[in-house]
Amino acid sequence: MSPVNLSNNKIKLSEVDQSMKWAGLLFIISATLWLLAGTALGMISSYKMHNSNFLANLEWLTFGRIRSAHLNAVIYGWCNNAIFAVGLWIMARLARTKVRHLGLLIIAGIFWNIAVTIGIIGILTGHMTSVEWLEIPTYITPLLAISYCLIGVWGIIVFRDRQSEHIYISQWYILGALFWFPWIYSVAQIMILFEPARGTVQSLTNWWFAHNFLGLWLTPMGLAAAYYFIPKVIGRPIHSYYLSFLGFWTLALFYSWAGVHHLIGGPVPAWAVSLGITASVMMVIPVLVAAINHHMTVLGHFREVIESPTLRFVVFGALSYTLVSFIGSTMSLRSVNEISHFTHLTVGHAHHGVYAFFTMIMFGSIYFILPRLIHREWPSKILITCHFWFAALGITIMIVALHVGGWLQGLAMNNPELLFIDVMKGTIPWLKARTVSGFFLAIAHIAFAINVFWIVLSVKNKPAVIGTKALFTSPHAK
Amino acid sequence: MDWYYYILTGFVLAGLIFISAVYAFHWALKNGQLKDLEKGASSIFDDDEPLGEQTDYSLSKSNYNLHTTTANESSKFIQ
Repeated sequence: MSPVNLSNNKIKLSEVDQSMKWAGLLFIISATLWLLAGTALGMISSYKMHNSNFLANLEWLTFGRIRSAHLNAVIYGWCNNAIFAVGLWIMARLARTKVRHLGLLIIAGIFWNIAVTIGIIGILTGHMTSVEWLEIPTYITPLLAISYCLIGVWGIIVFRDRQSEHIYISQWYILGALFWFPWIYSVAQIMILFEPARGTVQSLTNWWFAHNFLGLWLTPMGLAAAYYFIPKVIGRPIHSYYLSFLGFWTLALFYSWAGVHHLIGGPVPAWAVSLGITASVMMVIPVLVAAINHHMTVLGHFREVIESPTLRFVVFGALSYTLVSFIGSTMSLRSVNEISHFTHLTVGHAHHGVYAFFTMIMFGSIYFILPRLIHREWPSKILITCHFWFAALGITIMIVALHVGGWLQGLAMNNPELLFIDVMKGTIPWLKARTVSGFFLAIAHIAFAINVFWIVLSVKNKPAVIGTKALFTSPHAK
Repeated sequence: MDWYYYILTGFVLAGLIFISAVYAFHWALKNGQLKDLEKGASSIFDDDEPLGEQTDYSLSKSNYNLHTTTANESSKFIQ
């Protein structure tokens, strides 16, 4: 009955899960802690946007520092730890092999988290650099780079050790991303901070890096998880597997050029900007492919989406990916960009991508992975439901507020009749709405964190077993 | 410290990444990775988590019931 020819060396999926236990736990727990820290930092910076006296007498918590601390805690703390947990687990599962050198992975993971902690403290104590997305002080970034390299090499070793004949589409995405991230990170560090290039080349490198952090690191990892979990949970292969390869190769080809659209109107060569716009519009192809594949696979399986926490979050993320990418391609057009640039819309767009798409998919993935790693059930279903609805509502409020508010702000700033201060005052209601959305997200994250620590600490929550097969995340479990 | 520096850090690395991508694509074609895609699409399933079976349903209202309704529609993928 099984479509897979089990060769001798292939091991069962549950054995792969067991071998990933300690590494997975380390990364999931670190990711959860960083998520809470990032939420707190984000909420303080959001509150300061409409109430600038809040905590203004503490230099550690001034807006310039805490906003950068939020960004770096979220991307290097939460996003990367989640990627190391989810991406490497998918890689090991698809390789169908007993993973080796786990000590290396765990030590590298511990050093990664130490480096991010020192980096965030460095930002808060005023040692940050002035380069967005790369604010972590240069005395600690080499440690970040080395830790990442060890983790990345570990992932590539698992890929090399694979026992499966076919390389599944998720493996392509993860393998690509494991090479792309060190490339963009090291080039950006060298050309901006260690051996600074000339002025405009620095800004080109900066936005090439910052956009590719999303495009060549978070996006492939998020898509890899979506391509794995949607068919896996429903129990049905992906709608058009052929198209998914077209999607992978076109993403690899176009995404790395798109970052220049952040510099439209800036003092950089017009051809470079035009190239960035062209690439951004060409991204419609891989996005359309992912949209067809994800949504057509789910079509007709709405009951499963309701029943499975994993699928709820992943489908929310996949829908957001389609939406955020089309909005992104539109925003790169010069006529749209002259309104949206330098407004809160850009901030809303960033959260649309990193939260509504990437983070939601990572939540869904963790709901699938953690019970299988430690052989336990999620203790509270109410907390899962709570997490989903507060996260979904919170991020929707934030995206709508910042898109509408940012667009109105952009129109007003282009109107020479209006005073700048009046335009800024007009944005305040929208910024307050964002703080409200922050409360929603904080509740969601606390619900998630309680569930994560509960499942890790409670030994009694065993899954229901039929025969030799454990039925994880079944309604049957106690 | 000028153009050759940009060429060294920027273009050489970008070139290496590009060449490795071309090599990976070439290897995938030669290795037959892009053939028999329907079988490849089912490679994520095994005896523990078989094709046609829902694997996650903890928010389901009903008591234990394995959903196998998709088994028939998926059977065409089984070689």
